[in-house]
Amino acid sequence: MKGYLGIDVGSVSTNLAVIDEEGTVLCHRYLLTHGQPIRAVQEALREISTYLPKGMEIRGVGTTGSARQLAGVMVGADVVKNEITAHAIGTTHFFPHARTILEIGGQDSKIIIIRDGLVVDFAMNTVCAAGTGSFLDQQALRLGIPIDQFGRYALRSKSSARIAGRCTVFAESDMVHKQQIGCNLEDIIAGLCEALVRNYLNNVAKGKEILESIIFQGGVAANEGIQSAFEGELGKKIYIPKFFNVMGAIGAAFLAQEQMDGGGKTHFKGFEVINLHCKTRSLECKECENECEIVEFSIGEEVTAYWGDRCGKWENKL
Amino acid sequence: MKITVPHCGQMDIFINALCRKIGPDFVIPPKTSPRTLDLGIKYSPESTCLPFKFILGNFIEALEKGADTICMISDHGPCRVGMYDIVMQNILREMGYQFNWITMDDTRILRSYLLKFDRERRKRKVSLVEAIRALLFSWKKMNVCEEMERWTHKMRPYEVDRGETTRVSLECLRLIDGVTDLKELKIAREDALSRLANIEQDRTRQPLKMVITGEGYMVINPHANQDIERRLGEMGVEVTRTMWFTSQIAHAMRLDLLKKRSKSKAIRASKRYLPHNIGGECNASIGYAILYAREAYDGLIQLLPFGCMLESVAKNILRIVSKDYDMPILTFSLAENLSETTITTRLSAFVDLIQRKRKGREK
Repeated sequence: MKGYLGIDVGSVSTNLAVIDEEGTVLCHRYLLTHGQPIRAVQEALREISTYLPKGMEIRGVGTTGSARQLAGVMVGADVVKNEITAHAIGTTHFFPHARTILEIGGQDSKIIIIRDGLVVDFAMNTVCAAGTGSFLDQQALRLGIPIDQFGRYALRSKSSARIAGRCTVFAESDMVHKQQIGCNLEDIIAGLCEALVRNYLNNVAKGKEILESIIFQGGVAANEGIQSAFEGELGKKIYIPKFFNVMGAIGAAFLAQEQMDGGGKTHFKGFEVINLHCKTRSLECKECENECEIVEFSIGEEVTAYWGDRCGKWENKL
Repeated sequence: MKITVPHCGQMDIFINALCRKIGPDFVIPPKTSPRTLDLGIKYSPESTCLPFKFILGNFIEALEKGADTICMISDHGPCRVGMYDIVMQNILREMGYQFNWITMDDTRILRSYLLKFDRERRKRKVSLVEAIRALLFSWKKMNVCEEMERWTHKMRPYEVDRGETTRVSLECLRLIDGVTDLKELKIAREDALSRLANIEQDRTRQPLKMVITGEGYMVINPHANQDIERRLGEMGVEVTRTMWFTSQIAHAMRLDLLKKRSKSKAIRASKRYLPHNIGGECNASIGYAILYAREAYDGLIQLLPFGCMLESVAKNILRIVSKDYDMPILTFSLAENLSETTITTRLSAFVDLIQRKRKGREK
């Protein structure tokens, strides 16, 4: 049996998925990155290797997410792609009629506009992370509610409190204020969900034509409160795919399949990387005024990759 | 008198050429580096736009290097550059620097420049012929530099070793910077062209064609736009940009009337979407999108410093242009906290989008 592995290493979570030749998802893992992408990837690989069918051969590997390059050199990826393309590929496989993808992750949020199965436009949050998963996490922690119950609280609200979602700092002080004047928790949380959605629509999705079918994915899609706020604000049905939190990884696996169908042998180093001692080190190149920050990646004592240089001198060194 | 100006594209080569011939003494600020930006951020109002921070940083470093006179352009339009000079002077004086300040008021008033130039010339006892010759030589040199840059844009998507085109092109610019007369310039130009032509290439590739437009400072300065031309080139895109040192001067002097892609043509083309010329590069950004869409370019990237009012207007109109002409447009709002991953993620997604669109059409 042959399969393709997709790895999506984001700011908050590290996701893996394995698909077979027909594009069926065989298994997937969702793990928290905890700021240590190397360890997270190793851990996820170890977990997923136990779920794989016996005698499974990995024919190709794709990586995506903000640590895609790091993950790519670590496992030996055949394709390293940005998360927008990866998400779009994954989603359109399951929803050929999708025309809008709303994706809210740990630190970024994006909207992808699809027409006839092709990405025609996209946008990501620019200078601010207001309205992403990290902020919800933070607030859940502050209120002492487990993040997976956050949405349910919102749904119980009868009339939501009005909270400004423009900036997380102001949103938080708004929430504290509402608490102090005696609003109940459910209403405040519902208000927060609405504020985040308003902010997303006014910011990331500004000027984009949101047509059905609308797919909502990324870690935040687990939050029913946000889903219902989107439905309220847009007046349209929002679908949450079964694999909403690992769609990037699934997309990366599809990209690997696409790449390998072109021929060639995989660069995948095998599941042995679980036990390798990988480390990174950053250094500043002082040879010109660009002062690039170079990342040095080594396995054991051997340096296997450099990146981050503008001129290519370090990258071509090995 | 030791004059300094902010870095702007390859303008330092022009100024070097001119002042080596007829003076006055110029202090070119050190190349814009992370330190420049750090200094700029430290002393600028937090909410000001990115060019302000870079330029202030340039001035601080130039003053450290011994400059005593600062030359800075200004404008009367709605662009914030109109307030740059007063605010910058105040900041620098509060920091304890002493200097003279020359405001180059409104780039469209050419006569006053020429008068200033002429006064300076007489003071320095440079003959008129000599001065005109020096100006023409520097102008020609600048044209050769920009020709090199255009070639670099064309060659980069074909390069086999990543970074080679950039390296060769830097060598060529240094070569051209060093020449002192027209004869040498001609030789250097040919030498540079052959060096570029000798770069190992893979001509089987089919690069996409993209144009970069938007706010002038961001378009012209690789240090401000995170080296977007190089990044795109290395992703296999042939880029061109709408803003050049010579094109700006030529536009101000109305010397570009016959050029195919002149700024005035762009402004005229924007009329259908924005009848009133609101200043800055706003109308030109819109117009260029139309001009390049007609030339069947695959995509356009608009650059603006975060918070730029004029380009934000253009951004919203560009959405309609994008639809009308079926050309994908990506807008980049740049601030100092943008990480490298943020840039490459968006750029590569944009390149993917266009590539898949092209593949879809071929099918």
